[in-house]
Amino acid sequence: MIEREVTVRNRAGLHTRPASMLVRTASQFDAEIFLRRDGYEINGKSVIGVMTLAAEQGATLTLLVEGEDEEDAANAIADLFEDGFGEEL
Amino acid sequence: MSSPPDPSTSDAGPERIIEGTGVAPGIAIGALYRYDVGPPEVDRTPIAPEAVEDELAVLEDALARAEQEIEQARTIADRILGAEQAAIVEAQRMMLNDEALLGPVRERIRTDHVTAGQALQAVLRGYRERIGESEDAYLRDRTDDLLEVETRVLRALERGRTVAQIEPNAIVVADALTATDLIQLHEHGLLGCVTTGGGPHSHVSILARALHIPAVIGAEERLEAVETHDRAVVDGQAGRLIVHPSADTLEDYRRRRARQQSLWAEQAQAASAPAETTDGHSLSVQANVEFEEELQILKEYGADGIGLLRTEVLFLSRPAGAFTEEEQVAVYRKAARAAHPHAATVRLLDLGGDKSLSQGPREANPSLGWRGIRLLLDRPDELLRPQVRALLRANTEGTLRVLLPMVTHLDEVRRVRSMIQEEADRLSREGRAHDPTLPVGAMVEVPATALQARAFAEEADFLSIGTNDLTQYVLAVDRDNDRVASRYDPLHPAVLGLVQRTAAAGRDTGTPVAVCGESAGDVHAVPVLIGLGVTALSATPSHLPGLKRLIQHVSRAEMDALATAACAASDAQTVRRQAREWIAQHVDDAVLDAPDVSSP
Repeated sequence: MIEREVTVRNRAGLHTRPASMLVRTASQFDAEIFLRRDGYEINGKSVIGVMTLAAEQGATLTLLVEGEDEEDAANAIADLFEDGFGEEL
Repeated sequence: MSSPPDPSTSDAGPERIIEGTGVAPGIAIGALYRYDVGPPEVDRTPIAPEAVEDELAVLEDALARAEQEIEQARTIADRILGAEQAAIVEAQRMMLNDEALLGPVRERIRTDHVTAGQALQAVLRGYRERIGESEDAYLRDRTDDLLEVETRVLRALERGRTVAQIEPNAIVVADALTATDLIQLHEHGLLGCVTTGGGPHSHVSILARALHIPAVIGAEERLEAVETHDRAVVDGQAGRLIVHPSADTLEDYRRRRARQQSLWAEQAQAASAPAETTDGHSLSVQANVEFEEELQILKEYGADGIGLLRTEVLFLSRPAGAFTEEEQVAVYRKAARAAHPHAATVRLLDLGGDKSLSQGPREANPSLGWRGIRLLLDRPDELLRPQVRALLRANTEGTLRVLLPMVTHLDEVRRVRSMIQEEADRLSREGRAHDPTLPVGAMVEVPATALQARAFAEEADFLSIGTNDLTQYVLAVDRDNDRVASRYDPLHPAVLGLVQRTAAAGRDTGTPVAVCGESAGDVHAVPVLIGLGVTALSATPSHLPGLKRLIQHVSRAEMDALATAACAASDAQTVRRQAREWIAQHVDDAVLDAPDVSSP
């Protein structure tokens, strides 16, 4: 089980496009992936879940990953956040 | 429900004409049926406990319809999906399969005994409220994306229930229709359809043409005001819905409908005969294909094979990376079978320009940029190699040919040839079935290629002139730019000169030369093109019977004379006039009355 802090860096926040990018990436892994914000936890493989985080720029989330490929999954997702989902920072 | 009123008697209402765009020709006379114009309604009647399983099935059906509609939205956008829009459409599709949505919805249906629509609305409302609490205005607006999904599914639920209520001989009026809707409505005896939305190249429009269902799209105006059971006429050629037609109008349309039906019969006859001029000159009349659905209708239109199978929509209508080698093999096999005993010409993925996978930096001049074969050869392993392998493998099923888009340099043809060789060898080593005989053709759309036509004709196995792009490049006109679009005309003598040059190179080297641009379906352009010496025309399937009929009624010698005059003309307007006069002089009106031949 990996637990990591990730920060939303792109200006527009975790809106529909980044949410679907995140879910597409998460779904490539077998590991279970969750994101938590202020005690509200959602499945990282659910677009609707990710959207309901309503995570704006600067929001800090806890990434929880568990499974065989947790290491790769956590890195891939953290990279997306770090990269601002390819959007304007 | 009562039976529809007899449309033969005109009622009291004044005649009203609603204009749109005709996408499937023909005349329908019947009674209107409104199929969901306006916001969807939710059924709030509690369901019986024993009806739970049925309601879950209703939900599944609606989700499948909604997914199909989303799929359609992706292709309708004329292949120009901005990154943002493509991602949102993709996200909506993911939402339809999201357990965070489906789990609670199913749970509510099971335990609260509410309808699928009510359950869906309640669950999505909860999520919307959550997002709506965000302090970030932009994120708050994302509730719209959820609302859109809700509307789609509610509408799909409503349709699943109403399709069974459609009266036979109805003219359906709707915001938009999916291919599933149209097929089901057709089974219920639908006569014609009119929608506010939709695109001429959508699956539904193609299907309507194939099924001979007169169809009008883009009928924005006053469609809200029409009512179920209103008498009406659909003119799928003019793109018109006439509500409460007067006795005179009705009489006129009855006559036209009768003529239409006999024309269709004659066209079917023409389509089944070869395209041979009165002086015994044979032409190959092939189909342009963009959707898999079109493959089923080629025989009916008398296509001499496929002159252009565009692969962009096949790629773009699937999630990124999903059109794998295996999937491609299946589609190309289907194409080879549909074209049999003729060849199916598959154009390699033509991205860039106006169609993009929305990757990479925006270019200042996309049509002069990284597109077509340039992009493929620069990243050979990503798209080109799998496509070449799929073609080689599917080639065992019939006769495939490969067409290279946006060719400018001879070397590009050579490089693709050597990759074909490489992959054929590799497939042999892998012990996979394939046929290495894959003729390679070059699109002639860049003026340089037409100017070097002789060299290309020697290098390639066949040439195909893409008159749309060639005209844009020769005349330096973007036809999507309203300010200059009127300056665009493939019949400009400068363009015709390049067509002639290319056709001559083909004749001298024994290389077939086709035209696959829109002008191949333009009744005024066709005699000029044939006179210039092209050996094949490739156009939208529905245009083919009309084209064949035209060719069967004229002589090559007469077309040669027209082409000679056209090349000597000073401008496109003069050529248009010459072509009009030529048609008037040489072609009987009845031949031209073919409803499927486009005329700009």
